Parts: sequence; structure tokens; C-alpha cells
Amino acid sequence: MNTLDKYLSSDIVKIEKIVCDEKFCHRLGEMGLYLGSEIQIVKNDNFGPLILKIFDSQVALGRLEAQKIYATKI
Amino acid sequence: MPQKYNYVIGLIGNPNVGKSTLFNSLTGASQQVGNWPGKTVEKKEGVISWQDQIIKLVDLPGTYSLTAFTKEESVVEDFIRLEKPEAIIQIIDAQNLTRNLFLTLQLLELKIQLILAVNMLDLANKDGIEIDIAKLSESLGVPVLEINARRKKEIPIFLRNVILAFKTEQVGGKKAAVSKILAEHILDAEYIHQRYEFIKGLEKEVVKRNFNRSSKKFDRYIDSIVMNKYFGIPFFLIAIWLVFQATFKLSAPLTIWIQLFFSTLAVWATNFFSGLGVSNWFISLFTEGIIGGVGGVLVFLPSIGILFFLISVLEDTGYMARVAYIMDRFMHKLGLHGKAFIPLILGFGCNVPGIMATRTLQTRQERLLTILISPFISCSARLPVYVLFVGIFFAKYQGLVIASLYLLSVTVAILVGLVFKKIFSNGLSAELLIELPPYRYPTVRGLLLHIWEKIGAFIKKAGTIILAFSIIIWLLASLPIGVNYGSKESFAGSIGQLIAPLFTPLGFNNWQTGVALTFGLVAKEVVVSTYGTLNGVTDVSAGNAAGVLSVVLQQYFTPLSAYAFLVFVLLYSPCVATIAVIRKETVSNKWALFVVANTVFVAYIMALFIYQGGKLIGLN
Repeated sequence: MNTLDKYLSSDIVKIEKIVCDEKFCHRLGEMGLYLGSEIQIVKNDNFGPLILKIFDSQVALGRLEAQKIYATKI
Repeated sequence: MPQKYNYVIGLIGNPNVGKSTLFNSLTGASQQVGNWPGKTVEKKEGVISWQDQIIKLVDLPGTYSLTAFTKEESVVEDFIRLEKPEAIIQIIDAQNLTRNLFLTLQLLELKIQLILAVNMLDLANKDGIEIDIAKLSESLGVPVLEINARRKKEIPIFLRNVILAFKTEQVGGKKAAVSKILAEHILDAEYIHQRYEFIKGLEKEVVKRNFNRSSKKFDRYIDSIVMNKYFGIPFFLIAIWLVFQATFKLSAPLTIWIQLFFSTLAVWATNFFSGLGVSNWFISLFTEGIIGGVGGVLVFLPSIGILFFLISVLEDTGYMARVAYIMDRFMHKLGLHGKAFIPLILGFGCNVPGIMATRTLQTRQERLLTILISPFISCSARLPVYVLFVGIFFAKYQGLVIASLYLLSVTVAILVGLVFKKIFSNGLSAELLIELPPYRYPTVRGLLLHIWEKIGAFIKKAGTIILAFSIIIWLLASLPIGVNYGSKESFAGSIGQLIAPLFTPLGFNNWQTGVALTFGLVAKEVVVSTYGTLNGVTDVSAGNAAGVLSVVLQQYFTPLSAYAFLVFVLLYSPCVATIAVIRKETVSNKWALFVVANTVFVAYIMALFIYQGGKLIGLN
């Protein structure tokens, strides 16, 4: 299990653990990023935000936030 | 006049689903823009006539969910409670059904007649997504309509279907599966999980997916350039440079026409009123006060219109969301995320639209922080002051001196931002989480409506606040009766003399500068025209006047004190229009006053530092 920022472009991962306050958890949730959801890393430049594919949309997620989300590769 | 409506309908949906396009197509020019009572959330409503029915359509905020955390939720609640709508239409992006249905489930829990309008089915089909509309309607127990928001001719059919739908259907959420979900009211991870599981089950029945995603190739290609690790930022800088170049180049001829119109109007009005035998004071009020003040501000209309047109193009195509991604790594250090960069960039044109653009930011703290630093951004109205002074005092280094002021503007904004970040530290959420919508062609209709909204608001401002202040300043410059307009003996002159000593430590303590800075509160370019008026030069923009002013200003300033003065003009209190818009956007007199106090304080300290520091190292 690793944090999201450690995965590479085009990896598909399953979310296992999210460290967030209630508010940010909800913002992630409404975007479709919740415990058990499966997402794809679209772009990870190793600095700056990541781009994720969640369901059918692309979402930019800050690197600091990505470091608080743990996932396993599928 | 309160109007009678047969129906009130709300329009809701995720951001980027075509909600505004549908709203524009449905209501056209009948829209009214305001704020929800007591909130900073924008409220748009419009009236639709269909056969003999009059429908009020209210555009609810674009939102991903209804949660206890967002002000959007209370807006939706207020709307349902106070306006008692007959129905709410949720517009759904067929390309993104799963996430859109999350909001649908929450809306069903509100127990109000819900109608789903599935948009962009054609694009979804291209992506290999097929949706069984009838089955979706049956499973959720609400009417589901197809719509192509960009095709105007489909709108009447859609309207008819909407009215038929809520006349025949009952309140949604009657199906067993949905009721089960509704029974559980928990707002936690489990809640989110359950709803998505429900949606997944639903999708198995109504959605067919064929995985040939050919249509996304174009998007990926564009993204590989504009979001490239190395080229992303240069590309963005070029885009912004082009926007500003185009704004100034395209607006220049229109601006000259407007100037010509007002100067002709002034001449015509003088002749007309003199012919009628109207007394001179009224003619002076009308030409020098009202036409001078209001006209002087309305000349910015073309720049604002064109700037917003181009920004809307960038916004509507989906590029602005990418800018947020590109700029995030820098803005993060300020406690802002990349999206806040856009209002600040707009501020270089004019602080007013910049501050209005903070509406796109998600949290109140983030908006507030951006609003607090926006006035330090050197708007185009400050440029005439720089140009006048560098021409006189720094003839050899004009470009360099002006560039130094722009650099100082950005530096001060960043430093002040860092200070406020420390103060707000707890409340700030700089989390970056934004959707990158697919690239789309903007609609002409949408763009024109954007411009109309912005220039409409600007004209209204010119006709109210600026008109009022123009009259006040004219009175101050004309009274007591018998003094020459704008002379040392007028009230304006007295004010100038009263405050001039405050500026002695900064190197400029003449009363004319006191007056110029006071009047500059109306609009910063008024600083220039004030020197003109006070010295009997009527048209400062004309080349010949510069000679007269050059002699006069060299009596008041040394190059060092002139630079300190320019720094003061750059940083001190924003113009009344900006103050008014800060008050409106923060819904608070306190914050508006704070901005004035803060900017004057920073300006004073900086100018003092430059003048006294310069003297210490032997500059003059």
C-alpha cells in the first residue's frame, strides 16, 4: 500500500485509506474518491498536482492531498 | 413590480454539465443577476413564456453534492422553502453519469418533484456510452428527458416535455430501492459508499459501455501540450500576453470613439445650455462634473468588454481549469490554489472584474485572501499616472521605471498574501481538487451573455456610485461660492492643504498633490486629470499640455519624491468602484474599510522607505 503520489501515470489503483478532515473527505467523496473506489493515475510529473481519472472525468488533485490517500495497485 | 408566475422551476447540476448553456437557451436576455439574500452566491433567474404559461426559472449554484459544508446547500434549501418551486430540473452530463447521479440521489431525499435532463447524449455515444433513458426513469421514479442544450430548436420541445412531466408525475423517490437509500441519513464515508454502490447497481441496468474512446484523443493531445511539464507555463504566459495585447489593441479605436463622443457631448451641452440661458454653475456641473467624471470612467467600457470576452473563451473551452493545474505549485506557497491566479491576472486590467472573478473560488477564506491582495495589483487606470511622471522625471528610463512598478505591485501582493496566510492559517484550505472538463467549443450566445453581464454591471456602477462621487468632487472644487474651480481657496483646496503635511516625510507636501490623491480615490487616473484641472489644463491627454504640467510638476517633485509618489499611487486605497465591489462581494463594510486602511498603510510605509532610504544613500 502506497500513497497516490508514488504511483505512475496509467496505474489503476484501489483506494484503501484516506487521511482527511470531514470536509475534505466529503469533497473527495462527491467527486467519486472514497474508500474502495477504483481510479486511474493519468499524469504524475513527480512535482505539482496529479491528474486522476475518476469514473468518466479527469480531476486535478494537489500533491499534498495525494500524499494523504493510500491505495493498492490493481 | 412583482410578476405572477404560473410555475417556479429550479435548475441544478454539477459544474461543467452545460447548465449555463441550457439556462441561457431557455431564458435568453430575460435573465437577472443578483446575489442570494445575505450570501455571496450568485443568483440568476429568468422568465420563460410557453404558450399561455409564465415560468420563472432559477439557476441554482453548480455543485457536486448537497452537504452541510457548503453555502450552496443552504441556497438550495432556502429556494425550496421560500419560493416553493413546482419542480427542480437536474441537468446531467451523459458522459459522466455516475458522479452526476450522486447529486440526483441527494435531490431525491429533498422530496421535491425532480426532473432529470440528460445532456450531451450524442457525445456520450461517441465515447461508447449508451444510456437507456426509459429504464433510468423507471428505476428512479422520476421523469427523465433528453436535451441538447446547445441546439436552440430543441428548446420548445424540451419545455413542453418539462411541463407535461410535472403535471402528470408524482413526487419522485417512490421506488422501493430509492426509499431504502433515503431512510439512511448519515453524512460519512459509509453514506458516500452506499450511494455509489446503489448507483453502480443502477448503471448495470441502464448503461451499456463499449470501450472505444476515440473521441478523447484530441483532448489528450491538447493536454499533452498545455499541461506539459516544461511547456505548460510558457504556453500560458503567451496566452495571457495575447489576451492583453488583443484587449488593448482592439479596444483602442472604440475607446477613442467614446472619448470623442463625450468631448462632443460636453461642447454640445455647453452651447445648448448657454443658449437656453442656464446659469454657468449648472453647465460646469454637467460638463466638468458629470461628463468629466462618468465619461472618464465609461471610456474603459471597451477594454472591460473585450477582456471579459477573451477570458470567457478561455473559461468556456475548459482551458482555465488547466491553468489552475499549471499554476498550483506556485500559488500553493501563498496558501491559495492555482485557480486564484485568474482573478489576480484579471486585476492587471481592472481590479473590479478581478474581484468579481473570485466567485469562482471555492472557500470563503480563499476568496477573502484573494480579495485582500487584489488591490495591490497595478490596474490599467494607474498606468496614465506612471506615464505622465516617467515622461517628466525619468525620460531616459521610462520602460524600466514602469516595469519596476509592476514588479513591485506583484511583490507587495505576494508579501501581503503571505502575512495574511499566517493570520488565517487555520481557516485556509488550499486543497487542490478540481475537475478538468473535456474541451468544448464555447457558444456565441453564452459569450455574448457573459459580456453583457459584465458591462451591464459596469454601466450601472458608472451611473450610480461614480456619478454621485463626480458630483461631490465637483461641489468640493466649486464651493464656497465665488472661488475659481479647483483653486486653493475651494473646499477641495482646503482638503489638499489639510492633508498635504501628512506627506512631508514622503517628499511631497504640496496641496495640489493632496487634492490629486483625494480625487484619485474616485478612479486612479483622476490623479492625472486633477493636476490638469488645478493647473488650468483642460485636456491632459493632448501632447501640448504635457509641457505646461512638466514645468509645474518639477516645482513640486524631485525624481526621488516622484518615484515615492508613484509607489504611493500604485499601492494606496483602491478606487471607489473597487471598494464598492469588495463590499458587495464580502457582504461586509468591515472588510471594505479594512482594505482601505491596509492599502493606505502599506503604501505609506513603502513610499516612506523609498524616499527616506533614497535620501540616506544620497539620491535626490
